[in-house]
Amino acid sequence: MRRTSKSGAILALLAIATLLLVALGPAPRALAQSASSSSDTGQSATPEFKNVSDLANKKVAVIAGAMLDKFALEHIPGLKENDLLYFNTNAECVGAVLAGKADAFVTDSPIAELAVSKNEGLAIMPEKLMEDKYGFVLPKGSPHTQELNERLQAYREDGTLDKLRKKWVSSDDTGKTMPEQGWDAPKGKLVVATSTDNEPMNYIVGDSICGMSIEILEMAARDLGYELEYRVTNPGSIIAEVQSNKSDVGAHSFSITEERKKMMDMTDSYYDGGVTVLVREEGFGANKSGSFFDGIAKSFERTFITENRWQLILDGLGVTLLISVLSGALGFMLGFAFVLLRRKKEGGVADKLIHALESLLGGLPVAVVLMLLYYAIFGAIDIPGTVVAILAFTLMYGATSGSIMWNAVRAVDPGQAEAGRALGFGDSDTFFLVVLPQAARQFAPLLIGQFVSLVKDTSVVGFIAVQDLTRVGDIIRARTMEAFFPLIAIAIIYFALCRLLAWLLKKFAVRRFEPKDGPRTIEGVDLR
Amino acid sequence: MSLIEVKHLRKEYPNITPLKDVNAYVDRGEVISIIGPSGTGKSTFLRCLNRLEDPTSGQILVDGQDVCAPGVDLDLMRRKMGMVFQSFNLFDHLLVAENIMLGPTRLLGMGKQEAYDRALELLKQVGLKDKALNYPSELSGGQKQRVAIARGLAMDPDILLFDEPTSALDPSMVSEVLSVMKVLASRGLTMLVVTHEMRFAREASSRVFYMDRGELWEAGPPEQIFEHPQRKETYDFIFRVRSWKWEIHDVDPDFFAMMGSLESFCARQFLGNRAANACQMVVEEIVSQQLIPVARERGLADPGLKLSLSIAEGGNTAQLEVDCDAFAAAGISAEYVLDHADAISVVMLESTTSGHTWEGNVLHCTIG
Repeated sequence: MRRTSKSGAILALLAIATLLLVALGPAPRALAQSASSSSDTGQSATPEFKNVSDLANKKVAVIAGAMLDKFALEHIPGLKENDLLYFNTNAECVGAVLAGKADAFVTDSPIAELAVSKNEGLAIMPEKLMEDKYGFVLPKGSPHTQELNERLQAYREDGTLDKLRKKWVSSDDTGKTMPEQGWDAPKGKLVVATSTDNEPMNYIVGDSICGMSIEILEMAARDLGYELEYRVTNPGSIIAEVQSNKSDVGAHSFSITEERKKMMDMTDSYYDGGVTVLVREEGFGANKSGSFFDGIAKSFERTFITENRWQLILDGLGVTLLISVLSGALGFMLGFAFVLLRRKKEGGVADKLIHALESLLGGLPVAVVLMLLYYAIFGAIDIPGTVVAILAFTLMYGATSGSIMWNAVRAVDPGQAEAGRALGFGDSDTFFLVVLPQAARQFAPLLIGQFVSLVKDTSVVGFIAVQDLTRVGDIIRARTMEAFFPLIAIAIIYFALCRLLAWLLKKFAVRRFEPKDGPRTIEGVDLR
Repeated sequence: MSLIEVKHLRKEYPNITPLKDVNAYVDRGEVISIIGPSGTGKSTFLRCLNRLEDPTSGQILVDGQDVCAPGVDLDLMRRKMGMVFQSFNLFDHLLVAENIMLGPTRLLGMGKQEAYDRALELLKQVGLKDKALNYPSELSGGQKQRVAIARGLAMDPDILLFDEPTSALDPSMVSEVLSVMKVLASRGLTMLVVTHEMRFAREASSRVFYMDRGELWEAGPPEQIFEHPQRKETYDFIFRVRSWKWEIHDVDPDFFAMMGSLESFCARQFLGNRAANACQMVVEEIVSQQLIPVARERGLADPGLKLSLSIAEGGNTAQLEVDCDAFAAAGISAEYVLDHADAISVVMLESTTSGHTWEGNVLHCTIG
């Protein structure tokens, strides 16, 4: 036994090392350079591709469902549909460019600037695909349009807009604070409709709204003597909010277009951007020694320290643990109940029904069961995603553990039960004293393996908007635009968690079914 | 009143009826050996007694109580009737001592220490005191069966049932188990033993049940069953188990298998060492020194020898017959064999047999 645990530890170390290597494998050059430079602008770097025409036959990353794919096909000559790579988040697109899976990422310029400042080795192609200017939207004929425009004009002239732009796309998240609240507001209240998912323009840190659009509005409100009240909605509803006069101003990345101007008032531009192409810096991947560990340290800081993200990770870990442990325990009980029911009458109705249920659940992907429960079965009921997740995993684990235990129980030599009954034990005593302990020796290690699978399977709960460890990793990647480090960190945490849980179960649950090692004793007996 | 009374016991399965109509009694302190061909209901009979099988009809009275009556406390009844299985069925997850303690502590309310001390005492009786803290998997078959006997005894039963207790054992381990059983028999424990060990049946039983085709054909003291069977069925079985048959179809036969089979046959019978050695010597001489060399010399691919050795009544002499049809077919006469026989071999045979004669193509030879 001693030797086993030692070799187990060595194995674990090896596994961690391998994991690190594999995780870093595609990304060493990215990590080596990531964030090691102090440059925040990124504009000074020379891009690997200078002109749009260089992108023919290159791989281009786009966000799925954001319409920029069509746009890229129209504006990049020689680009074919097969060359487009679709991802769900900005962070994934950036990661694809860094890892060399994609050569360019077509996106709005604030996102590109943010990515450049947060990742070493990226640059923005000087040639834009389209010019674009952002303004605020107001109801048609609003009395506030004129005064807002005057303030924007002033901020442009005194350099405030440039300063704010640099501030909100910089890599230094600690500097992104909002001005003090509590100025005099003799002219009353303005209601601002906005959303919280549009970094760096309007997003949320902790529980306060911030971003470039928001700060400009607040400065103007202070200068003009208004108080602001925010109505947070989803991006698609902001314009409707404004048009229906529910809100006085809409703040988002609203492009100034003639079409919009017909429907409502739009201010002048406070941000001159456009659709840009993010590419790698020229000479990317060439040796820049000495920066590897600096890069790791910075990535570590951003992933764990900045904005107290370790708290977020801990919360995610807590959710993963809660779902895993509760569904593991409840699922085990369910599986055991299945065994007891099937044992009553082999081939009976309960036996057949349970067998059918186990086959059904055994043939469905857990993500599908999860979404069926969440959207179809509990769709009409307001029930927390975590509860649905626990229910789904309890069912899944109950089905697998039930069939594993049942098979192990049936594999015990019938002669054992006969011997128990011949001694005078009743049916239940025979089962619990003779058959079950022997079956447990077989099924306990299998149940642990299944439980570890369960822990890993819980990583799909993000499908139903539960913030578990995996989801937190996604959020951090989106927030930091770090492509790899959060992934690796999450991988290591999962690995450690799985090993720890397996070890605990083995130590406290499985051992009791295994033959006694070491000096043999009998509880409650003086062996003499 | 008898301890066990069985009346018109019948057990049916959908496609087979292992017990047709069995009537028997067993008195307290009796040791009953149940013998008979394989698959003729002996084990089923035993398993009906403690209701591991449910009889289809009939009555089983144990100590005056009908164990087939509805509402009978089976668990309580089984505590008074231990069972030893062919495949031991020790609880593999428990130590030897724990195997023996499980019943007394859980069913008889005995304290753990007392149960352990008693387990040690029982282990001492079966010669395994030093194995108390071993797992069953660490024991040999014979040791396991002795532990199983101790486990049965620990419940202090009135009756102990043995279901072919030595059939799964290597021949070398049979005697250690039989010895323990003989000791128990001599102590007055009521025992029913399904067995193929004729020597045990003859020496240790008070009565022998001969069962065949789902019926109890004859019950009586061993002398009656083995020496003077009253029924033809019994006589045929006893004769059958008393004869050994072997065929040789190759001029390079597997002598080891043949001699091994003969040796264990002799051991199962009541032959003493001398008689057993004589039988083995005669078979070996005749086959390997006389018949096979001739077959080789005459280029006989298949010597086609059919050997049959049977023990005569009383168990003092054995009769060997060798059917040499294939020799005759190849034109080899008895005289030719005799002429070519190894001289020393002939002398040796003459000293251990009361002569051998040819009758047609069959060689007869009386040993002892």
